[in-house]
Parts: sequence; structure tokens; C-alpha cells
Amino acid sequence: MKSIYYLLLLSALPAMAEENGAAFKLRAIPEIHDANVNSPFAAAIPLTSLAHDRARTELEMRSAWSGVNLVATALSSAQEGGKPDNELLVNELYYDTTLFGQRFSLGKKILSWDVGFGFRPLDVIQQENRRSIFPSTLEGVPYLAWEKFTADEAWMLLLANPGRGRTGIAKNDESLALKYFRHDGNTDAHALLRFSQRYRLEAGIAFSSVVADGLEWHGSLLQQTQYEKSANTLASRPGPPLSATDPYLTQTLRQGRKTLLGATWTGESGVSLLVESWYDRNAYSAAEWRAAASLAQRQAALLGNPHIPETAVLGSLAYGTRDFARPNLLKKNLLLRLSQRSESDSFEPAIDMLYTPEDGGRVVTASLGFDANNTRVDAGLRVYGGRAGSAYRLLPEKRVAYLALQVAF
Amino acid sequence: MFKKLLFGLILAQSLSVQAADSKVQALLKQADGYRLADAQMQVETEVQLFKNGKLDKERSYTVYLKPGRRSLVLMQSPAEKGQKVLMLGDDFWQIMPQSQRPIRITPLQKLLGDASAGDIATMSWSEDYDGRIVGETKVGDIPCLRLDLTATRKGVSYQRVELYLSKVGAHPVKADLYVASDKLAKQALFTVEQVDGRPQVSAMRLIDQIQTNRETVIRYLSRKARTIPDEYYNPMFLTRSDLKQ
Repeated sequence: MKSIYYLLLLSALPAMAEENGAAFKLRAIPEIHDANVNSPFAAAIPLTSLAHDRARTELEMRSAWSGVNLVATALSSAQEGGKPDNELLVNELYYDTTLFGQRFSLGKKILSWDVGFGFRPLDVIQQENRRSIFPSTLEGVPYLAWEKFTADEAWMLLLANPGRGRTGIAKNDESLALKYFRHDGNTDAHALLRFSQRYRLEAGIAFSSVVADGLEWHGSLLQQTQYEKSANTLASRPGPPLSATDPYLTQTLRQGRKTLLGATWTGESGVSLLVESWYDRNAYSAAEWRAAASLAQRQAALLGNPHIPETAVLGSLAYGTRDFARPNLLKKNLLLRLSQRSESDSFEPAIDMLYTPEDGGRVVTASLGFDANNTRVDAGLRVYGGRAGSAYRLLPEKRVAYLALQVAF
Repeated sequence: MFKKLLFGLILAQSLSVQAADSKVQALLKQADGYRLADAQMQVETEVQLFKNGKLDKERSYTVYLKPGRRSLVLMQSPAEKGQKVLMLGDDFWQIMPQSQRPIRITPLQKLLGDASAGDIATMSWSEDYDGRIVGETKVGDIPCLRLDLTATRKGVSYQRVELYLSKVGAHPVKADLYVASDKLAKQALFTVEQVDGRPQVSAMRLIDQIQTNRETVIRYLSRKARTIPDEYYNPMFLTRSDLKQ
């Protein structure tokens, strides 16, 4: 049935493009994942989405008519050993209007607010994963907003996810936020207040300043009345470290904090360097990762024990891989990115390294983009490594290679 | 007596420099008129990038201009749809549709991308440059005045411009464009044609002097007077869609 729907959509696209001036992007992104067989979590790989080759195909449409803006994606994804999954996603559908001299906006929209690149503390509404491989267009958040602009200042009062209250996922929580922006010469300043049941009051400030022709620096700070941290209870529970049910317990802690400081430098040749350092109190410490590794080793040691069902061990190990899904694996992070882009060159090489100084872990990603008229090709390789016992060495993935083909029409 | 003579000489020199300056400014304003007929405009632009003489890329842009060195560029090609660049004097912002957040960019980052936003949106010399007339020469068979211009602010794409204006009418004929390191980056050649009953620059051909096999042709498809409110030039307004996308 879905295939028929997609065929109908595909056949209607040229007519929609003609009528609404819509733009389309077709992307195909295969990824090859290499397992880290030395990880204590390696045995659980078949039960997780980690270290599996996968591919996704996306057809994105961007259009606007009568003040309504739409970004929608027909998405088909498949993972090695699994069934293909087809989905029609509305990324954005919003309406901007002016009533009685006041600006209003409502619908579903991407609401990214921070000034950072590797991490964005002030993205309290959008909450995206900044380190995913060749990310798809984000899915926006339902909202209702009043906005006011002068030449130099902007205010936004926003109700996100109206009527939802507290949900199972933080991004879907209802919240009320007030955002202020001011630019003064070479410097931008941002401030926000947000209230939600999960985090209570959050307050944030950020700045971005251009200090020379090629040099910019930026920073942000988010202070939370409370924050959440989930931990695997098996690490401290006496007896066999196994559980037939979800062993994670989420705790609410006082005084969360996220900070970021960074700079970008660009030369006349088009070479750019990005340096960013950030701190995320919500993330694990090196000691917590050592405890997670120790638990996984104890669980893995039970494999082959004739008195313990193998499925119980693998299931408990698989639960433990949830720790790798956090936006930051460690509290302290350092990102370096070197890239080259020029007006006249079609190739865009880049290399970046994320380093976690608390445990000596690192992620290195090298990529090359080629940009033709309406076609773009990106290829890259990401390698996880660092000191033995570091979080990124514990990851049951060692390498990811990807290719992204994109045609715009 | 000697002091009075010295004072007189200095005054005469100073007055002569001011006269030269005001003549250059008058020429630049006259030359600007061939690209900007009104102070506030909406310009539809088509850009073609050539590599080794073959068409490599085509892009289209809508540009809004307002006095005070304010310009807003909306990318219209399928590959760039949703991108916007805002320029307020020496300050620049860019928004990418994937994240919907306006980010600060430096003057050098403004030069990157398929076609330099500075080349597309900058249509005035009189607001950004000052200099002197350094001679007369022929470009092709057009007798021209040769002006040596220096940027009066830091944020412009080219810190020095050697501009050739026709002796009759002061329309732009050619410009050598130098970046901050005084390296010749591009040479611009202007096509002036009758548009809407008056001579206007209809196209600008930019020949890359660093990667000499590259060439960019910017065509001004339509120009119309359009006033948009000041708040549209607020960086946060880039997230709204009140203007034509």
C-alpha cells in the first residue's frame, strides 16, 4: 500500500514543482559499519542497531504557498538483516502571519537556537544529535509563537508541543520559552528562559562575535534547575548482573549545566579551522564509564555458562549499549575541524577530531564533498579510538564509511 | 611672510584634494546609477559559473537592497533553496534550511560558496570606496577614466578596486578587484544595455585571476523599486518566511 502511495506522490511531484516553485532533493546514503570485536559489548551486536550496515533513501520536498511552508521527506531505510522501513515525515509545516501589527507563527518548525557547531547547549527545544553521520533534515517541533522585531533586537515567546504536558521523550515535552536576541556591531547576544515539567526553569545565554576579517568566537551557557540522568542499576545490584527487564533507572538531579566555547578562523584561500570545547553535566564521567565497562565484562564472562541462558546475558548486554546513545559520551569534549571550501573549487575536503580528555577517547572523521551543478557527492570515514578503556574504545563499532549522493531538482 | 605663504600652500593643496575627492564621489554615484536606479530595490539575479569555458553551475538569487549598506540575498536554485545571507554594513549572517538558525559569518566566509554573496549583493561603490583618478586609457575602443579606489570599511569583499569608467556618461566598463592581501582576485567586465528605456548594467562577467580557468557571469534579470521594513533586516527575521522564498 505504501509503495503505491509513494508512486502516486512521485508522479505528482513534477506538477507540484511547476505550480508552487517547489524544490526537491533526492538522497541515497549507504553506510558500512565495522564491528569492534574487542568491545565487551560485542556479543550483543545482533540485538542492537550498532555495527550493522545500513542504507537510506530520502526524497525531500520544500515548498511554500499562500504563506504556508512545507518541508516533507519520503524516507526509506534498511538495516543489514532487517526489513526495509518506509515513512513519510513532515519536517516542517508552519504559517507566519501578522495580526494587528503583531507577528505570529504556528505549526511545526525546526527551532535551533544555539551558536555552537559540535554541541548546542541552548537547543532546549530542538535537542538534535550533533554528531550523527550525514544527518537528515531535522524534524521540527509543534509550536505557537509571538515574535517582535526591531532593527537590532528580537523577542520570541513560544509554546512548544502545546497540550502535551510531560511525555516519554524530552523533545516532545510541552514547554514555555522566552527568547531574546540583540546584535550590536560585531557581536550577537542571545538569552532564553524556558519552563517545562521535566527540567523546571532553564536559563541560557550565548554570544557570537567577529573580531577580525576571518576570525569569530562564540560561547553559550545553559543552567538548569534540574536535569535527568539514567544509570544501569545492574552495576550496583548484588548477584548476577542480569535483568529480564529494562535495568535503567532515571534520576532527577539538581543544577544541570552545559557550557561551550569555540572559535572559527577562515583564511583567504578558503581554509577554515573550528575549535570548540564544551562541558555537559548530564553526560557520564570517566569513572561511570569504567563502571559500565566493568559491568559489561562481568556480563560477557557469563557467556558459555551452562547454568545461565545465553539470551539473558545478551539481552542484558544489549541494554547496556544504550549508554552510547547519549548526545555526549563524556562531560568534557574538545572538537577540532579543518576544512577547505572556495568559491571556485568543486571539492570540499574536511577532517575533524572529537577528543574526550577525561579518558583519552577520540573520534576522527575525514570527508570529501564534490559539488556539481545540481548534484552533490559526499564520502567519509569515521574511526573510533583512543586510550584502552575509553568510552569510544568500548563502543562496539570501530569504523563507519559512508557515501551520500544527492540530486536537487 | 614665509608662514603665511606656507599656510596658503597647505590650504590650496587641501582644497584641491577635497575637490578631487568630491569629483571621484560624484563619478562613483553616477556609475552606481547604472546598477541601482532606486535606493530600495528588489533584484532578480542569475549566476552562471564556467569552468574551462564550459557551464559548470547555474544559480538564481533574489536580492533586496536598502540604504545603509543593507542587503538580503535569498537563494532560489533547487540545490540552495531556503538559504539566505544578510549583510548589514560589515556584519554578515547566513541561515541554512537544515537548522533554521541564523549564524554569524566573517567577511572571509562571505566569499565562500558557489558564488560570492558579496559579488551578488554589492551594487554600490560610492558607499564603500573612495580614491582618486589616476589616468585615462582605452578599454577596447571606449575612452575611460581610471580610478584607484580603496575600501572605506573592512567588511567589503575587495579592499582595493581599479575601476574604469567611460569618459562619456561614467558607466562602468571594467574593474580589477583586489583582496585584503592586495592580490588581484578577479577582473570584472560590465555590459551596459538599454533596459526599461535607460542604459543599465545588464550583466557582469567576473574572470577569476587566481584560478584562471574559472569565470562567473552575473545577469540582472529584473530590477524594481521595493521597500521592505527595517525589521526584515533583523538577523532573527531570517527564520520567518514573510518574504518571497
